[in-house]
Amino acid sequence: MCVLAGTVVFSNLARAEYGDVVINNYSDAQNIRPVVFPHWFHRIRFACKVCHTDLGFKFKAGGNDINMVKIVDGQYCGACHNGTLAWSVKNCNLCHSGKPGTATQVHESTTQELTVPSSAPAGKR
Amino acid sequence: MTVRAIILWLILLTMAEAQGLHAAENMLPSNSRSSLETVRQKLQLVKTLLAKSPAIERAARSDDPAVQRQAMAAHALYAKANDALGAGDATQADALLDKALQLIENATRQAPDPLQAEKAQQTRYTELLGSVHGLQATYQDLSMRLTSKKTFAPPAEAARISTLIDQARSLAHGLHYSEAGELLKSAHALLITALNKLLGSTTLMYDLKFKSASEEFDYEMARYHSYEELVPIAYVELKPSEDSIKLSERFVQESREMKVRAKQQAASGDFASAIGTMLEAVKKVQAALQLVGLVLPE
Amino acid sequence: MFRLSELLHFALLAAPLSVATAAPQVAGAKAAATAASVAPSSQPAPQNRTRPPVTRLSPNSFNRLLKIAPRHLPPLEDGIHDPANAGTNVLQPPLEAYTSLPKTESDLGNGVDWVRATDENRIKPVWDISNPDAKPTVLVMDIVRVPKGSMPNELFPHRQHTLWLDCSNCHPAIFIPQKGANQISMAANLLGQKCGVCHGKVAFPFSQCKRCHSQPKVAADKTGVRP
Repeated sequence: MCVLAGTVVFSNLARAEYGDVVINNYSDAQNIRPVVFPHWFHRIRFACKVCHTDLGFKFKAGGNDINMVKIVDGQYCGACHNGTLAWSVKNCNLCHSGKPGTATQVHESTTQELTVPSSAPAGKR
Repeated sequence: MTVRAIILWLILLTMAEAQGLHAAENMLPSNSRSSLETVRQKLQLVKTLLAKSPAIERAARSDDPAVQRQAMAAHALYAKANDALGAGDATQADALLDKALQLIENATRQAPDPLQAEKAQQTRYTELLGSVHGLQATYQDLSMRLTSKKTFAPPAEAARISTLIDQARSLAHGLHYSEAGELLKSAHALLITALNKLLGSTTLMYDLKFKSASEEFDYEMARYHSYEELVPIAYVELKPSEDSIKLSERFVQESREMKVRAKQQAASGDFASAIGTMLEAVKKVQAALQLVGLVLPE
Repeated sequence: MFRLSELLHFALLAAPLSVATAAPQVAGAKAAATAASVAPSSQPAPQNRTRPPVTRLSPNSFNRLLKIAPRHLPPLEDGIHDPANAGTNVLQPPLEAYTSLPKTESDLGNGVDWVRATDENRIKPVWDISNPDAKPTVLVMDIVRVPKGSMPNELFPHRQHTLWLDCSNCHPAIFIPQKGANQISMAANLLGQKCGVCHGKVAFPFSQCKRCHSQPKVAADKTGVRP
């Protein structure tokens, strides 16, 4: 009982972390959930250089023109997320896991903390 | 008893994680895997990929018949999945689409784009060349500042570094960017090792000592500009109200007038006043930034 | 072994379905400190919020930078992940991955001491995508910057940065590699420029001044600076 209860607490713990990047360049228009990219999970496995030099990601949320065609062509996320090093693109919901309408942002970034919370509908900062 | 339960749970957790995500994927409740909306979107995705993906185009034109067959198979699977979804069997459609996606991903790996790879290697080569030159300049600058002789003494490996760079350049001329990059990486590593040796445990001090009032004035002017260029960024990032922006713009305008005055003072040789005016100008821009919501620690 | 892992994962996933009591005192969980106040929520998340509420303080009270937003919120309240998405449940909670990693004392940002984690080999991040065995050549070059005003001097250590980054990530696009060539202010940092390109977004935030402003001022620093 205690074990299961403990598991409840643990599996309800945060799945959004400092440094998570919501990418919503095209998702809303395509009626699919925006992508949540977790920096922490990738930091454990890769140095910053791998993505930001070797794979060409710019240091800007929404600043990379990523779309599924490019991903499947092996660019950007697709360099690893092709079923070999990491999960393949068939798992839509593992990447496209953000709340619909969430604007492109870096979660808990300094500039986010400095702005007044918006009472406008989700999607507007 | 509680302790045992906790230990058991921890063991469960560790063992579960040890399996990684592969197991997790297969444990997705079946209703989530074939949720109708997801399958429809997946169908649309595969349709788009088959129509627009350069990888599929290359695979279809490939010399390797096996790769071509995979491309054809992907098309066939899409057609079957479309029929299955039309007949209401989302689970079957999902499975077929997953297979199609796998074939498409395989096609990319087996028929990579040579142009894309070359472009990436060229970019990397240019970056590395820039870094290597930067390191050379830094070494030269530091060796003059840090050694007692204040002259430039090249590192022990200087000859080897030069050779590597020259060889890399000529390879790049012949468009062999990948090999050129490898040589530059070696030069890069040698330069860093040399720099580490030169520096030892010295800490570089970037202090605020100026040789002349004119130099200090230039510094203050640069400092002013660095604040001024933040203003439009602050408007975009902090999204202030229109009134705040209006007031803030007024402050910025006043600071610009101060800058003009300071330049005149400097031109007439009165650097003391010029520097004082620039300091006031910076304070004005800082106030403009604070008005729109930037909270500064000082 | 495969079967067993399926079972284990099922156990972990099924747990929320079977238990609905308040959060127990699970001493074994290292994350208990943060989890203690979390109860499995049965209330729907507030609808139109995409991030936790932050109040704007007056410009005179800068201590909002020191005010730490609620850390590691549960998914129903973090405003980012969609709890209605089946895939969200499968994603690893970060605190799980952090259990074996060294923590920073302030728990700011991720709360993980990434550099120590690498130094102590608790993580072995890949350096080169085409060569998994490649290691970075680390530059050991400390730079102390003397700021205007009364803040202690700021130490920038190349070592910790070149463990993770390539020279071209910062030079020359963000920082010109030359003494005196860069004007860096806290205003710039807070607006996501200069150091703020990474710090305050992915690397640790600016809330704890002494992490960077760690060097005492020397009397000689003060010459040449007009009041």
